[in-house]
Amino acid sequence: MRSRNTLRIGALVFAGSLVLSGCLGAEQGGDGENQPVEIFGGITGTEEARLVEEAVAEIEEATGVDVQYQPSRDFTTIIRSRVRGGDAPDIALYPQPGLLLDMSSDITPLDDVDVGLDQVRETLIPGFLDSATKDGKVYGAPIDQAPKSLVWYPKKPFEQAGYQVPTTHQELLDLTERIKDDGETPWCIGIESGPDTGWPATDWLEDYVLRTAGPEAYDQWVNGELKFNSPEITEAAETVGEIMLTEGNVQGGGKAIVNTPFGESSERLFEDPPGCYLHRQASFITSFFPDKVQENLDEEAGVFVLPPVEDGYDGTPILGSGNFAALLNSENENAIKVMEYLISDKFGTPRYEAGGILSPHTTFDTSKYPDEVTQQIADQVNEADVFRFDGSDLMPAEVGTGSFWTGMVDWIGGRKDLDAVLSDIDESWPSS
Amino acid sequence: MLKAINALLAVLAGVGGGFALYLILNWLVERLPGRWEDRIKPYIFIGPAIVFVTIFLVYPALRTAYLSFFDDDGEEFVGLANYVDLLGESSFLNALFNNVLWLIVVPAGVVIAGLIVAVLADQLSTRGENTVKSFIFLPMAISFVGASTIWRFVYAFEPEGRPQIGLLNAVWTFFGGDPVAWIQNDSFRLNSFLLMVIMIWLQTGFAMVLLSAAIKNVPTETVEAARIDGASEIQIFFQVVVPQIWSTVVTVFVTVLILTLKIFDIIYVMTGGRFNTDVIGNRFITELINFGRDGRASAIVVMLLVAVIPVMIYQVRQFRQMEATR
Repeated sequence: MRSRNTLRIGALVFAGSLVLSGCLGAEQGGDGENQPVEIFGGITGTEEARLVEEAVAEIEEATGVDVQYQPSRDFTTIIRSRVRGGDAPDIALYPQPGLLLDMSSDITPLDDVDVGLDQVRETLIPGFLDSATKDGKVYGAPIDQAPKSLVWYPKKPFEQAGYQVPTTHQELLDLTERIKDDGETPWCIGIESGPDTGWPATDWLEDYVLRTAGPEAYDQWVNGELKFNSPEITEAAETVGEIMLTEGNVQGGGKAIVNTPFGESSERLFEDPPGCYLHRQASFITSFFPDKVQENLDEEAGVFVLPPVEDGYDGTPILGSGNFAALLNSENENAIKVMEYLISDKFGTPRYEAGGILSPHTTFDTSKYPDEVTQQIADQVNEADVFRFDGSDLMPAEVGTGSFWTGMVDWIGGRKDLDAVLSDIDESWPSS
Repeated sequence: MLKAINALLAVLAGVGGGFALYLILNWLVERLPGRWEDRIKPYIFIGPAIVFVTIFLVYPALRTAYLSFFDDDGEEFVGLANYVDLLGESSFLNALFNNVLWLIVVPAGVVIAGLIVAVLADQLSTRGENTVKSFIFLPMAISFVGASTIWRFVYAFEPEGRPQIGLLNAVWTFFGGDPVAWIQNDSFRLNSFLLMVIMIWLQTGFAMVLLSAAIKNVPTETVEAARIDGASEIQIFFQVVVPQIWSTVVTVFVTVLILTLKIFDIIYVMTGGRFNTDVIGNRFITELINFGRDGRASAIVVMLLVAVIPVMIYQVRQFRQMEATR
């Protein structure tokens, strides 16, 4: 008899749970005016995601729409499968415009909806929107930016030693020599980044392609029209090699560069005595600096834009990256409203106030940035003649997140010579 | 909170549903006339399992094989192009070669290390044996990713002049060597072998437990008889003990072999396939996730599957023989 009872209770629990999960599952929904908007993005990490949510709260207040931000570390993979599976979010934040354009058939061009694109075009840093434009249509707009052409130095020891901020490439090389003559290590460079190892080195090469061959050649290179083993790119790579691989410039040489995590290499600037005096990395590197430096960023850290090369492009180009917002569901009218705010120069204040990340709009009030260092970066970016998006994010994935990374690792680690590496990368470029 | 409740309810509903399904089917079958009940009943119980294996294993496998003949988006038929391309790429052949090395070295290494530990521990007191075995077995509790993270510190490299935090380099420099970037050093595939050590370290405990049990099952009469006939201990081990535990050795070898065929985690964490250490498991992930090239990724999996099948058949046969002689 007892087992019968157990059975009955079991059946009851079972039936009850079916009903309940059915009810709980139906909690979401709503349509028309109150339709919520889902934003899906790759900006993760507790602190970062919190700031995005704060920024999203700002949108909710401004537009009166219910917005949910869904972060995922595997954004690149999941966005593809979600769209293919018919479960696309309303808005997606793409860290790579290359991927965005790759999926353009699922994205509503911003020219076709009322999101104030003309206004955005005027306030954005010139050239930024080009990275998300295909066949004359704009598929996404940036919501933030991190300039990459920056060289950081430990302010106090740098000034005590009497070093001057270089304004040309030759001065940069002279400074490097002088630091070596003083018995110190000039550069800290690290390109290790787990499965993404190599990306900081691709940034170096991109920066020098812009400086030696110029923006036009850069665009051709990124589009696959200019080969990696062309004289232009080879020359840029040799310029990078001169800094990275000259004996004594970096402690431990190429093998150590390949082995050192990029964040850790930046910390060495602030050792006592300094492990090095120069470090080239994007604005977001400040979050890797030791806590005591972050608290006093203006007093501890100095920064300058990687100087132009004498015989190269006449001007100071800025290389940068950022997240692009794209509209995947234009039927949700609230999503269009949110999009309009998201890509305007009004969005994102809580994030920018935390530092390291900048607004992509030249009209953003720079006094809202938390410290002089960030304000100084913003001014320099706004003054720059040319802005170009991180090329490896625009190249086909096989190259941009594959052979370009591994090629740089093989070259810098001394496993292959430069010519072999550049030809290998050309070979891996997809044919279609 | 709501999610947790939902998950709990889903589990309850799932388990309860399965239970109810069997109850109802059983009840229905019991209504049938006697002969039919006996005929149908086995299928009622094995049926759902077969359905699930078909839906979640056979169908995806066939679908993968199908996709391997299509382009990156699975839209255009390309015939054998994916296979031809892959087998023509030096980096893929290199990964294949590494896989072969792994397949030769790791299962053999695991069996030998496990055997040595099992035999030596057998000579200790019961307490000593248990302690030693527990320590050797401990790594089995660690995931591949966890183990790789630990071993990163063993092989860590810092340039000369900075403190060496890596165990191997600390020992190496203590004896006067210059710090070596072990993981980058692929002369004679040194780095690949260093990665294999991790897997051997992880799996030795498994081999030890099975082999130790087998050794204890060897009848003492056979060993004593050999001893009376004047055999040395080494002769006894290789000519009396080993033949009697051979089927266990094979089982351990094949199990580790299949595990090694699928190796991915260690490579992914330690090198990401750089420095000539790539294997096809890692290559598959790169093609699918990073490059979004479904066709090529499917082709890699199909090749892996084809390689596993003969091993599986051998293992099933071996298992049947063991059952038959029991």
